[in-house]
Amino acid sequence: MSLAALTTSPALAHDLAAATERLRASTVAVLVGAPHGRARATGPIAGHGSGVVWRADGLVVTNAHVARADHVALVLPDGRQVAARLVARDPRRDLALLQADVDGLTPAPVGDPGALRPGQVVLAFGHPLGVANALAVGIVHGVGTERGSARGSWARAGASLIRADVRLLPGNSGGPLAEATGRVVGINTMVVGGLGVAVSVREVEALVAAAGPLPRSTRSAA
Amino acid sequence: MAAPDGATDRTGMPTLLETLSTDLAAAAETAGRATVAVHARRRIPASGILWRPALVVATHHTVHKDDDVRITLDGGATARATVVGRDPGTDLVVLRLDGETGTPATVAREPLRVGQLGLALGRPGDAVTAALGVVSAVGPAWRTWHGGEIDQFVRLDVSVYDGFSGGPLADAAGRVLGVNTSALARAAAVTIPAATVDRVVDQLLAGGRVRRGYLGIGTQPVRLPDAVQAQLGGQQTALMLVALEPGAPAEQGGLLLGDVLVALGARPTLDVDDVLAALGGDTVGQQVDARILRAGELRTVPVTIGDAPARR
Repeated sequence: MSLAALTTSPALAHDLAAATERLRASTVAVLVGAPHGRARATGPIAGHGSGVVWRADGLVVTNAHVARADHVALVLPDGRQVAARLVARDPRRDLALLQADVDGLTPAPVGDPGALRPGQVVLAFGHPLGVANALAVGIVHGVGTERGSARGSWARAGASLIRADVRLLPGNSGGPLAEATGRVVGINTMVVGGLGVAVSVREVEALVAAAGPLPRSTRSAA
Repeated sequence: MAAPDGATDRTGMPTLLETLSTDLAAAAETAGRATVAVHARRRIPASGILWRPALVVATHHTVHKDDDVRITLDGGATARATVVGRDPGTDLVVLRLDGETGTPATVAREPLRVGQLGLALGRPGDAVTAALGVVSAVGPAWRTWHGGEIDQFVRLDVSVYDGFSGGPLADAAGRVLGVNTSALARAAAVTIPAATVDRVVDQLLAGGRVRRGYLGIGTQPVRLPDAVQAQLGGQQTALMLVALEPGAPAEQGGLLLGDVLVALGARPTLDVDDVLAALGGDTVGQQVDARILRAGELRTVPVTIGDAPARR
């Protein structure tokens, strides 16, 4: 099918909506300093970002620079606001793990970042600038940290990164970057020279493995 | 609302969105094979395109040396190249690979249209990078601020990242539509269409540079006095000569600092574009009447157009 036929097809809009729905079901808002965050029970919201549901039992991944407190609040896909506590934080990878006292969440389907190729369509989802459930569409710009384009913070991280030609805004941090199937390949982390930069889900898996058995929520541990 | 597991999992058939994604990646891969890294400046390398066997086209403003230029080909192989010629006017440079031919791009030579989707590819290192863009405006043939003649004005709506200049604008089939550069317009990215690249490559291969008429003047637009305007049929502005290159055609012909150039041949010179338009490559060696205002009087000074010296 030609590109023209593709882009005018109602089926394409349907596919985008389906992939977006997949992402919405597994993306949370992370509120730092919100009323449910016990550290500052009565303070104003000091910051917000996005997070990705990693396990049904309430394990959520976000950026270390989003999870700046030991206790934060999450807005779940169904609108509920719940408390969560910081269980792991890795500033080098700019990743953090949060645990909420909930169960029955929808974990994000995870794709294969190693198979990404420049030009592939990617979807960024999250709550940029306080707008809930916002989608941005772009393409893969490049993968890895190859010489010549690895500069500053990218090189410093040494982590496996995905660079995307997609418009990320504050509040996208910690949210999912997904391939066209809706499978998550990265955690949106920063904008460098206009490029959206996401930390590969391989790094999330490494962090989860390194964190070992995490303190479970009281309900799921019972 | 669609099921969260998506169509792929249910039927095994890729969705249209996935097909689009795969097609774009395939286009990037196809055109990326002919996209090379050109290591001829400090820090981050720029891009180039294997335009013909063993010939790489890149942008003049990113290639800061002529000899022993390192080129990274698709797959990571390294080759050496030498500059064959440069045309600062169109911001193009042609390099010849030593002992390698590479896989030249498939070039599409039809005019570009507004709304056309394209991939801006680069190779600012070992790997190809991609940005999605749209042709945002097209116009007729135009002349760059360095006097280069470009067959079609093509402005892109695309984010400009490292390695943009010298890289191809590729269509959805992976065909190369032109060479991207950030140096020919102040705020926006521009694509030099394939027809212009072909022409400049031919001229550079034939003579090492693109011939362009030359007078050796620097000018400043000035408003003409009302009486002179009336004499010139309403022409309001002209160009005061504020610099004369020693020994250049204008000085040789007897033009002086402070003369106000009102026309070259039959063409009124309202601004510098009119001068550049009167100095095409085919005018070299011809005599042209410079109509000037000197000491309040209009007079005509014949000048022989020279060949523009190579600029670096």
